[in-house]
Amino acid sequence: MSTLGVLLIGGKRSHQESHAAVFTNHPRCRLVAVADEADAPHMRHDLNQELADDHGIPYIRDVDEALARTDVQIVSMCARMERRGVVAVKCAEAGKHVYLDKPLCGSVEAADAIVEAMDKAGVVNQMYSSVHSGWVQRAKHAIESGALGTLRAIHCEELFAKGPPGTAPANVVRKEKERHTEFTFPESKREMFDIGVYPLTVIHLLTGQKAESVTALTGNYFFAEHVENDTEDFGSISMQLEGGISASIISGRFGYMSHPGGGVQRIVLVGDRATATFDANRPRVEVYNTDPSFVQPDRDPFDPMRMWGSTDERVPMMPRNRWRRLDGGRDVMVDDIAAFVDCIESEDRPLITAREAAQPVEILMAAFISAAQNKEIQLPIPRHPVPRTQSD
Amino acid sequence: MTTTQTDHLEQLDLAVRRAIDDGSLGTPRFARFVAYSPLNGLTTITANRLAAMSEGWFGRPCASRTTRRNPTGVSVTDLLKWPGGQGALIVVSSSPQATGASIDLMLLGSRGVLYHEA
Repeated sequence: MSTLGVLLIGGKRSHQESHAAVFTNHPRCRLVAVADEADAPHMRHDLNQELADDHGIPYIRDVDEALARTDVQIVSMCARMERRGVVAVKCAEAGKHVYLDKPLCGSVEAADAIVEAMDKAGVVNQMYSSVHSGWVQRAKHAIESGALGTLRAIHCEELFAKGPPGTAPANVVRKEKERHTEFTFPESKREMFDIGVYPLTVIHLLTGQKAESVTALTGNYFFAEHVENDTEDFGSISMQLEGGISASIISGRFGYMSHPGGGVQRIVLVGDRATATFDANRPRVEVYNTDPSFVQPDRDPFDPMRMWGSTDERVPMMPRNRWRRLDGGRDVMVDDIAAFVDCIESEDRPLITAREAAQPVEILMAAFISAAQNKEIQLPIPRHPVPRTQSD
Repeated sequence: MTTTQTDHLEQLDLAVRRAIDDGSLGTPRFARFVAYSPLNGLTTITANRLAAMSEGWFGRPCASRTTRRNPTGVSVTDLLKWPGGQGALIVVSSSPQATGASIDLMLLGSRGVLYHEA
């Protein structure tokens, strides 16, 4: 069986670190090269070169040249958030299958462009998400079994236990903006946006329904870095879905010491027959012994929120080993990428294509507007025409 | 709410206030409740009680409250906001059966989190 050539767009200090590691170990894939736009920032080129060097593959500073290669069948697309609307479209137009980083992009206009390009090209495309994890699949099975009756409400939450909390000024009140054009900061992310995509994607998978209206709040509750970059560290969204289903999420980053494991991942399903909870940290065993308990690592000025795996090489972090999931803490990206490759080979449709991934983008953009205006926002939100080169 | 639930909430309220007062959480910023009320029709009463508890912890009444109430009465979802930036999300259900806790609270503070499930 021939292997599938994988082009990596984006490098170190992006989710490509993880994508590349999983594609490297996939028996039916081989890495071909790293690439990015020629006019990417100088530091981005350096970080891309580092990833290429790590894997012993070339770095091509021209994404068009890289996409023209006939030995590339798959693109793992982790372009900067600000450029995804352009780069993902190029990948589709080049006829490559595309494994998309999450969130899909940073605007509804870019999401529309990506969906249209993927549909037109007919390529297999999938956004990384947690939908293949065991706890999400158990929730899906519970709905499909009929045990809950008709689904009336759903709540889903994801909080990352990373970063040194307690540094945000106590009396800061976040003033949200309706629209964001900057998403890339060394010290922080837009956490409702970046982490909220997980529970929103899960809700879309489990209900199959679009949101009709959104109310949201964002906060600067924990970290000075987020205040300084004007990025939220927390968000909560309440939604009315089609079909009369109420939905809600909380998402964010709340600090190393805020949870015994890696963080909170939970789904609550309310049906007219039964209510059920599904938790990524359950079932588990708990181990308490003479080993030292987890202590938050020293602050790394290059990655204080511990966003990237490569930070471990500079500032090691103690393992959190009190809570141990029965599945051994399986890496969901392994299953997600395996499902993507299976879809390419079997010509099946992935669970979360760009079309499904566009729905969380729409909700998140509406959530920013809601938080800024302090009112409920009806979906779909208005589109603003933009030149193609600026479509994100 | 049943008498047992009322007693439980009063004890929980006091325990949370002690944790806030001793500084364990830093400044309380967001409360998330997932509650189960066994009697249909009491979801709103339960949500109101939990909202009142949150107002006590944040030291003043909320400024806005968005409620999504299922027509069957089986669920209520409230998103509350305070002038100081604090918030609360309250999900109450009253399905005939339930797995999980009757009260699941996560109170996020600026430097720590309080969890309660019972």
